[in-house]
Amino acid sequence: MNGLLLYLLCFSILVSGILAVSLRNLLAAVASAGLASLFAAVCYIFLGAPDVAMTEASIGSGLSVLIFLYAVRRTSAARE
Amino acid sequence: MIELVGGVLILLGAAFHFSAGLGMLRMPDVYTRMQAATKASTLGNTLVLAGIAFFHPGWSLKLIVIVYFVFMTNPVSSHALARAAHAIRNSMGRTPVVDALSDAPQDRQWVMWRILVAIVVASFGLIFATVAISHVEQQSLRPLAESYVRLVPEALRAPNVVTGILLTYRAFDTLGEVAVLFMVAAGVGLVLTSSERGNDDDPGPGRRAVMQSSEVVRTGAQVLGPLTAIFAAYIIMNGHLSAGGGFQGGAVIASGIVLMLLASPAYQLDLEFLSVAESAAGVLFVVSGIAGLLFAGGFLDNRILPLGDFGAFFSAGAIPLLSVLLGVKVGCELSVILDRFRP
Repeated sequence: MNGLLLYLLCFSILVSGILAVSLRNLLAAVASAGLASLFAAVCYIFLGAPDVAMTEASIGSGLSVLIFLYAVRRTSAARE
Repeated sequence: MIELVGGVLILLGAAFHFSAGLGMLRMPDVYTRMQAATKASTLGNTLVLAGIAFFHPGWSLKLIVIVYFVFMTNPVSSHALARAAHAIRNSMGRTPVVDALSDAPQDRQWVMWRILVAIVVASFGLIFATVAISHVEQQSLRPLAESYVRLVPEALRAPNVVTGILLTYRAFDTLGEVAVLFMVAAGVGLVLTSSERGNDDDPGPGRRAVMQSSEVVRTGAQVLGPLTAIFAAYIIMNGHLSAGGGFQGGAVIASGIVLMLLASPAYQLDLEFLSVAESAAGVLFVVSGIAGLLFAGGFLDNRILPLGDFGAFFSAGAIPLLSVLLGVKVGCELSVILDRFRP
């Protein structure tokens, strides 16, 4: 059961990673990159590393997503 | 004999490196210089590494991996540089015979590029798959890990072995990591502030309209913000007892700041206060390290404070203190980085 859930999580990381690379809509791509790292954080909890999960969740799906969003906004404002 | 072959290969590689340097000096414009430097130095690197492989056959696998990365990164980076030079209309030395990028018909290149990417991804997948398949879970700890697991609760009275290692046995590495983070923050500030600050003082009417977040986000931030702060404080203060510590707590602080900035985008962080707090935390971290040098076993030895009882809140020497300093430092640095990226 636990192993199955872990495989499911890994599959979700893969899917959201591929989506992050291939989506044309930049906001959706950023959101999907954040989702990938959120899945990774849950994975870490299952593998018994809650401290790594904390860092991954706050930096991977919080900080870096916001930085990407700011960058997207800046560049799209410059293009207009 | 084998060493002779290796020596000749290294010498040949050095000759190519020399020609790369010569090309950098003698070629007329950025494209030809780039070509000379990249081609010759890629071949030179490969030859030197091949020569080393003759001297140390045991290193062959690592050397092959290095060659692979050189092959992957060197042409790609110089290609990107050349493209950038072309994009900003860097002039060519003479009238070019052909300028492939002038009105690039890119369809065929696009297909080639996709095939190349697919091959690279597949080879990485193969490497990871072999590693994952051959992975066997260890039944017992390695000697180093075992001694740490035994030593940290015993000598430091800290139940959380990870924090004990991070802030005692590897505290110097932690200091280095924080220094790296500091340099990142400084670099981001250097790159992003100089030209952008000018138009921040005068937000146009269009910008003001963007600077307003939805009711849901604001209310959610009001509820979650204080909870995040308390959680961060808990993680930092209990770093020696349960999972967490300074780094994690600092990251949680910064994600609380993320929430705040999302809720009220016009809010100005007090950068001066943040940098003063960050520097003070760094200085105190080093000072406590020097205190360890004077009063205990060595630099950053945290037995300068009483060790206390195993599992108590005030225990494990100076680890909680160092945790707090680390949390303040990391939180301030990440917040400053975040602020630099704001539009």
